[in-house]
Amino acid sequence: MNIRTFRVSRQQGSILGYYIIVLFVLGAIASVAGLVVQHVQFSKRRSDRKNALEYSEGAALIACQELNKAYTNSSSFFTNLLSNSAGGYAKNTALSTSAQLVYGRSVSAPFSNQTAQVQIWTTNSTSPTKARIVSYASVGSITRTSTVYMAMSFGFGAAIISDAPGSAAAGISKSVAQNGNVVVDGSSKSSTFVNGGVLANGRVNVNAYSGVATNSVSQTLYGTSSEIPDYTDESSADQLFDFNRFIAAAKLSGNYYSNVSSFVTAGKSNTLEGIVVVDISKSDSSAKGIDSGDFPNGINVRGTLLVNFSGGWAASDKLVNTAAMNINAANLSGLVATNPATYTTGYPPTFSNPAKNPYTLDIKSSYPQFDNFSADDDLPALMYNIGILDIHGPANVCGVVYSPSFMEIENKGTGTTQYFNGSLITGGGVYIDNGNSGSKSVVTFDPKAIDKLATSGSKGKTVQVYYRK
Amino acid sequence: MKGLKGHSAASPRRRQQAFTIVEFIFAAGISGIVLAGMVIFVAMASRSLQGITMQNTVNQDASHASEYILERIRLANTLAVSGGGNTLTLTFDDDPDTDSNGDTKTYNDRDHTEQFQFANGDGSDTTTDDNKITYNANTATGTAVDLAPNRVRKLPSTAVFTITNSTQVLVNFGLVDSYSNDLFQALEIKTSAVRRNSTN
Repeated sequence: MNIRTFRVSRQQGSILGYYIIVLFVLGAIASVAGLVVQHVQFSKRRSDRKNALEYSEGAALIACQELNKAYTNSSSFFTNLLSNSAGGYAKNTALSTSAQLVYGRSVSAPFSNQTAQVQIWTTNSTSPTKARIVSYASVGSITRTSTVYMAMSFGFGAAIISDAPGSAAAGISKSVAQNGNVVVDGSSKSSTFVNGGVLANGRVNVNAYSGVATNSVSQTLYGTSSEIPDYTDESSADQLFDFNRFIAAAKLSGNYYSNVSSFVTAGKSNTLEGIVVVDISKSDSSAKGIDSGDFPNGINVRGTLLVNFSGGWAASDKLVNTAAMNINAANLSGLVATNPATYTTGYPPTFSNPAKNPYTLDIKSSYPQFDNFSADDDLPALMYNIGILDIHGPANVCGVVYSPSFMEIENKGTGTTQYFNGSLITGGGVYIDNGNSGSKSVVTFDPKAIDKLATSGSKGKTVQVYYRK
Repeated sequence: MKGLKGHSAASPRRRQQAFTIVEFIFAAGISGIVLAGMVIFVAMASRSLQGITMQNTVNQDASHASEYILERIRLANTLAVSGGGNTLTLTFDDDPDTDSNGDTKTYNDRDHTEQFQFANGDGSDTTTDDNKITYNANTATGTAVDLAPNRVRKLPSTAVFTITNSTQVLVNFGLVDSYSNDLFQALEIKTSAVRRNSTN
């Protein structure tokens, strides 16, 4: 019995030793495991944070694309959102108010086992000019949000935009331009410069003195995937402007002149403000031309001048203007034609008479078919419809020049300046000629004059991001 | 029989309980070698573990700092670098639908300014233990917090922040651990980000 007792007590002592060692080892393993878990958790949280942001940004990107599609497709913007092919948006009645609408959906594709929520916030308008996309994605315990602010902007930008199909002719004569091409004919005696590129469905033909950089030209776009839509066809769905909207604004602000003589009377010694419309009938005895006798100080307008050819004008009929034309005129005292750094602008105009301010006119009350202009809108500087306003005299025009007709800009004077800062948008080709000694002809692109162009509805617009948060 | 039994049973056990001096020395030698091996193994494992842990910590710190800097650069609307590439200043428009600077553009305001800064604690960049990158979420009202706490080093002949093309920021820095027992862990970050907002 003694022997047994002795053996048991020795075993107990050994077990205690083993137990301490095991505790020590387990403690070491536990502390290492704890450290590893801590690092893994930290790493996972960081990874979740990053993944959640990427999912939310991805969902926002998808929503941007869907917003663009809804805005630029035919049928109404909100109908397009509701029938979105990748998943219809639903109106969020809790967040929507009478002033703003919120539509949302859950985005799961192309993610794997992950969803993100997107919301599109817009003003309550059939053609909203701005939208905000908010997307949320949660990974683990992390939720990240991405916000993208979007605005509807004009989709094309260049000093000259010509949507006429044009011809294959390669010369630089006026007749080649009249076929719907862009022709810039400079001279060694004068300075000619086109700054900001040329986009043309037809050909762009220039000579060595044209000041057109060959790498800034995109031509013969007709029939290609880059074709410029027919923005100037007066009967097409793509036509950018409804001239009647501008005429309505002019009538409301007392700026509508039914013939040349009344326009001359009003503008002979005054600067006209706002949207100014002059109706020129083919039968008007003054319709043969305008010169410095009519406007000894030039035609001076702050805002928009719309020349409304009416009553029998054909596309090739022209009204020659040799009087100086100053619309949103820039200070050109330091102008060096070949140096874009010296180009200044008078756009946007400031209006001293509130009654003439097109941005505050309530067009819709008097003409329900037309929308009011908003403060963000870019209004063209010069517009004319079918018929040619042949500009021969000095010109200082800042803003977009728009016409479905052929544009003829010929610097006929000696030492005179023709300066266009904005963009020329033509539907019949353009001919720019500058051959006289010491004369300057400049056409330069100003994105600020065109990016918010006040087209009808969403015509010519694409959705572009202007801020991300 | 009983005494004989008891004698015959106890005697062999007493012999088994004892060791000869040779056996003892041999056993002690073996045990010593095993113990020494274990100590060395534990010491090396411990050092290795310390190194892995510190490398992991350095990785996490550097990743966190660089990812956060890049995130903020992408959302800024202006960038500026000063102090020989030690300070990166970013501006943000808090409400892109409100024109707070009155220039008719709603999205180009500089409503608040954030700042990342490489700072050394003792006036010397070479002593890395007190070098850090700080972040101030609003320079007008906030105070800087440590984004990469200590151990930050500047890479040779390279500024921490560099702007290229006015829209891209190059970010270059290292983290280094000067503790010898974990084998001087170090890591270098060379990355860049392009701001996606603008004031144009």
